[in-house]
Amino acid sequence: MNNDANSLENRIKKAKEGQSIEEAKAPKPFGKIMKVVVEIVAAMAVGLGIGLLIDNYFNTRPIFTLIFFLFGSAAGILNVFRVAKSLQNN
Amino acid sequence: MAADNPIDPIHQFEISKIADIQLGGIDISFTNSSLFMVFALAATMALFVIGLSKKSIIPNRMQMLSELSYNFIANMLRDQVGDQGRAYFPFIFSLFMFIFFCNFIGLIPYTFTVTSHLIVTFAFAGLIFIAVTIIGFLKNGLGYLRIFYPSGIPIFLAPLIVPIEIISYLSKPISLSVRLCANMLAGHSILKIFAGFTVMLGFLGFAPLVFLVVLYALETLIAALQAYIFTILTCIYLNDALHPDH
Repeated sequence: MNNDANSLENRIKKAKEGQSIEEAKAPKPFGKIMKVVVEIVAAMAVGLGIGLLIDNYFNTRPIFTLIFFLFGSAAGILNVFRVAKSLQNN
Repeated sequence: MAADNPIDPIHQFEISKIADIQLGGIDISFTNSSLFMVFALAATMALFVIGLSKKSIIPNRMQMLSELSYNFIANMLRDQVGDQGRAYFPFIFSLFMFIFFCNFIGLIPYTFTVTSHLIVTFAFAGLIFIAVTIIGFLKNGLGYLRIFYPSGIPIFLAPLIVPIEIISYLSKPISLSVRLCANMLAGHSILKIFAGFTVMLGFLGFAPLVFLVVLYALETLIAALQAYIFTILTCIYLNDALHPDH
């Protein structure tokens, strides 16, 4: 009886250890895609925000908005490259 | 519209005040969101207080669970940050357990998901961002600014590269918070919508019900995965601050 419970617990422990390690090493595809999309959108939003702030301050709309939106897009691509690299290393 | 329709997938995200508290014109009421944060905290504490109350060599289930989670985060921090990261372990560990339990408590019917509100996740991400920036400047001095100008870049490209790197740096807290919030919000809405289908279809509702069970399993995975991703990205940002050259 006691022996049975021990072996069951050991098996659960082993199964759990295996799970957590697998999850840690390889995020599921859905998570990966979500990660990449959010990176692009966030960088674009920050670029757009900075551009709008500068334009509102100096009254130069839409010059800086355009420039910083392009910078933001570039930063988004850069972020995606970094995420892809870190995923590959893992 | 929401009033006359009993099936409203957005209703679960509504904030309601439990105790109205005003302090100097600022609304600091105790809401259902605060209540479920307290629940998450209580669950974390219960896991460790009960799990570690009987320190046996052959662990029981609760003890094993608490030890496994401790080892999991400790290994993650060591892999990502190295030995220098040990000082930040309490923060990283509390962060993981709190988000983990917030996500999981939200999966129980009739509960509230704290992490489905952008302001909550953004408060976390913003705090982490500010803390990591301060740590970076404390550990590296003004040399920390080099992260905005990677070595090996010709000087005439600097006006292009530096703004891009700065925007990339500033986008970190936004992507961190939006990712967690969007996953929780979308997942819980979909669950509620399919639950609504099941009710509306009556006898034919078994078809969406089967799908709901599958979705629920996926949501359980996502709840754990998002807590993990949030924590590991915090570790990566911390590593960037401690070792900006790598």
